Amino acid sequence: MWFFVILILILALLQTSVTTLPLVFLLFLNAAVVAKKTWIFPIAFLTGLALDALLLNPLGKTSLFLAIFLFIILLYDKKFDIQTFPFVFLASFIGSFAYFIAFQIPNVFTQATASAAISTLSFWILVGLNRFNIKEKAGFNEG
Amino acid sequence: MGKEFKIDNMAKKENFTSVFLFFAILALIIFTLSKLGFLSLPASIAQKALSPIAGSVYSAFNFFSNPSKDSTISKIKEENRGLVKKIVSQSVLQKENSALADQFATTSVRSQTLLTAKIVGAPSFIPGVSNPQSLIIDRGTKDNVKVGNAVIYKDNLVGKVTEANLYFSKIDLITSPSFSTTVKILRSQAAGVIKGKGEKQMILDNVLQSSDIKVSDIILTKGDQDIKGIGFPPDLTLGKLISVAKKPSNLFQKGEVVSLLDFSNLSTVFVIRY
Repeated sequence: MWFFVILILILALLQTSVTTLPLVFLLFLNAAVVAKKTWIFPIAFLTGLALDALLLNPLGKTSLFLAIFLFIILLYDKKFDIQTFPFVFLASFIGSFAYFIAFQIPNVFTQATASAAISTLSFWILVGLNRFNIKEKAGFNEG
Repeated sequence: MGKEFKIDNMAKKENFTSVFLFFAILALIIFTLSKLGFLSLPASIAQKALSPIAGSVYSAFNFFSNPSKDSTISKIKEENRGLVKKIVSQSVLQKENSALADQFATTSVRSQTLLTAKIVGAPSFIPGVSNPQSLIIDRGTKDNVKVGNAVIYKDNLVGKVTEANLYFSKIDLITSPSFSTTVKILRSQAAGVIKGKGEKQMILDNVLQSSDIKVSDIILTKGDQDIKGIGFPPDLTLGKLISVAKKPSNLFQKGEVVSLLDFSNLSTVFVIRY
């Protein structure tokens, strides 16, 4: 848990001062896919407020975006399996695309592709570490 | 066995709809209040409080990434860090001094109206490679910075203040797609409208077919201030024309413009306030 909080802080710091990539959103997407728990919502809400304060956005904008997107992901989980590489890639691409449009950040397509690649890579690392027993589901042991 | 797993898995799934609705509605309320301007003070305080925390996380990260067990080495490293800190602060002071000297020596804007501001954030796609679209400066409404104020560096327009809270402000750069203003060509005084294109370029548009524009022409602001002085004063440099598209079938001429500034290398800018 502490690791998760520190990771959020570092990524929020990078996102506010160095890069326009939605690193915090990608972290929450991975957390939602792997953990599928409701505690993600309050943490995403608070992190969103902190991000908005640091980026001088209207307070609540990022929180609302994160809440809606995490809800859609968890809703999708009711019908289909979300712990797969294609899902993580597509969800992070579509989510980042929506984020860049909502926050008026240019080079939407390039940045969304880079975001999707980073997200899939971090999911691959999580699956590789097999901390959440999702290795088989993600297709690591196939064939 | 498979059925049992499915039932167990379903029981484990949490009902997240009510949690989502609670936080979504809360976020929506905060967003609305923030848009209406009721939360500017808490937002300023939160930013003032979070900025040092973020800085200490960076320092802590640097400290733990280079652990040293030898006390002599760690002492020397500590001394070294102190010296580096001194060099950095001296260099920052030197840079600031020279920027101030340059600014007040070359600018056509009255120095009393200029406010020095340090850039504290410049997010870009690939840091150091791509151009930032916005800057965050360490001056806010307590320094009399207002939304719409022009930001310059040596008579070159950097951008416009789009958000300002008590301690910090956000500047949209002239290359940002949300930026646009009326301009004139230095050589021919032809008028037009410039819009940010993203990355390092801008688009010059709405220039009459009869107007005389050429590659390498310097583009200046036409003057776009209101009665309170908010907006762009005339004759600030926006950039240089690098291409012209003149088609007889079109109503207007178009062109591409690059700024003379390298936004990723700026450390100090100046806010024009009245």
